[in-house]
Amino acid sequence: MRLRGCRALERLRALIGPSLREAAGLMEALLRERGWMLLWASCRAYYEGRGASESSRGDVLVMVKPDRSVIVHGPRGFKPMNWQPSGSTVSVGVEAGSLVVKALRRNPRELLVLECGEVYLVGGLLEPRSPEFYMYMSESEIRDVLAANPGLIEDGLRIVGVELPVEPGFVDMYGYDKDGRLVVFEIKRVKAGESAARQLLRYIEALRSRGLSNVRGVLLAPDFTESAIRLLETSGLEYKRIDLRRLYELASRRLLGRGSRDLLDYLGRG
Amino acid sequence: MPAETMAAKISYPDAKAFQNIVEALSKIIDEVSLKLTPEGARIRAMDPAKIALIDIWLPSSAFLEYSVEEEVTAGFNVAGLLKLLRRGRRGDRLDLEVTPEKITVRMVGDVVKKYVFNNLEVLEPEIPGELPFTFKVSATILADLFKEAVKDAETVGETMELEAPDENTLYIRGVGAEGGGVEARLTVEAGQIIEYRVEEPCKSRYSIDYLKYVLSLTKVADTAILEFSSNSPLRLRFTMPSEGRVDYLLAPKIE
Repeated sequence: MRLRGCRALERLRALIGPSLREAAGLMEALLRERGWMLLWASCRAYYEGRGASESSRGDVLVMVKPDRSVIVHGPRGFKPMNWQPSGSTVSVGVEAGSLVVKALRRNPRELLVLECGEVYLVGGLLEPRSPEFYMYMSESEIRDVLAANPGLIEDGLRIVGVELPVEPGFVDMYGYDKDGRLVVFEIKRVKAGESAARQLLRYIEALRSRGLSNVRGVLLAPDFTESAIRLLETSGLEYKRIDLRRLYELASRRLLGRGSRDLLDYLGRG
Repeated sequence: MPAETMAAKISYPDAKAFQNIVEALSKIIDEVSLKLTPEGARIRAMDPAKIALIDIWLPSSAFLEYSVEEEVTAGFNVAGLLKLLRRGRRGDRLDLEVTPEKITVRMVGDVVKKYVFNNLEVLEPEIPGELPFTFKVSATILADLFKEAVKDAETVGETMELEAPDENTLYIRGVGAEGGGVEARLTVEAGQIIEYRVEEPCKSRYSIDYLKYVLSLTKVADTAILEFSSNSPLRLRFTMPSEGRVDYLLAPKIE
């Protein structure tokens, strides 16, 4: 059965209550296409390798991942009953009235055999996309990465300082744009609402009251509420989305080379 | 075809060697521009953390065919190019055809595999063409020896220390965070250092993670030239048999 509906489901294949041959056919196709496979069935499991074990027939959930790791779960507990690491050779077939799934690890030699009498469900996801974990960054970390890479905000920008005291508080970061105008940045690590826009507006008004009439104010955040955008636009302020994932990658690189100086300190800054 | 749309065509004899270069590039940056001039092909890229700079120069003589009338730039996604280069086989030839809009890559072996990319606009790093400093130490060693030294150093920590105490000896040390360490002592007299110039005793430290990025280059070069001064950048130069070279400039660690 190819499920229909949203676009993501086009990558999904599933058979509910299939015959053993139908189940084997779909599993072979999923193995060929490096899909992420799930099998819910009544099985017996045999293992031989560093030891040997055999389970009685019972309901199990078997997962074969695109990297050919195999995990067999019973109905209880979070630990799998059996598993084989990635890189195993996995094969499927119908033998003597059972669906037989074999997962062989060559070195050290370990063999896992599942003998399934009845298949309740077999399914698979083609071209699964791995989620990427990235840590949330603090505003000061975001600020430091942006200060070191001002081109991520706009071309020709030069950051000259951070934490500028302005009457209601501290401006996160400030610098000069390519036309020499002072630009003041307020940074938010989450979606910026109206209060963030008001905060920036207060800083700008304070700076303008000091005679800095040409100052630009820019709110930087991963996203903005509509009310924030409205307030910024009516106040003549600007906003720009920041890509947290990109910033995190840059911060991670810095972490890898921690302690390293900036090469531009030696090369000059162009 | 009007002159302004003439394609630049180049043909590199060893797609696998090119792959090893792109492997190193892929660790450093997502997108790069390959600048083709009548004299040769050049890629300069700085990693986003501004710790390392890679500078690749392949003169026109390194190519089987080199037909570049005027300067043209090929901007590409490194991971994308690497993915297809990995599909190549040893002995495959690499053909590139570049127009302002498209880059056509052909890997020519038993079969011809053809790929077409959009020519991306990639900003080049704004850095001076010539280094504004010189190196007090220059040591030529076998590329494999360097690779082993990096791998040994990695077993104890994140930092590699280079020390040139005199005109005969070079120490390559792995420095552990908790005082542990591993040391390789290379000497001219034992033949481990092929050429050596030491203007003054120098010692400097570098990130091992960043050195590992370019280990794939030890497959395309027989020797590696290590150039450094105290607490200054390291330049690793890999010279390829086909006359090309890759320079890797790495900022020092000063803790």
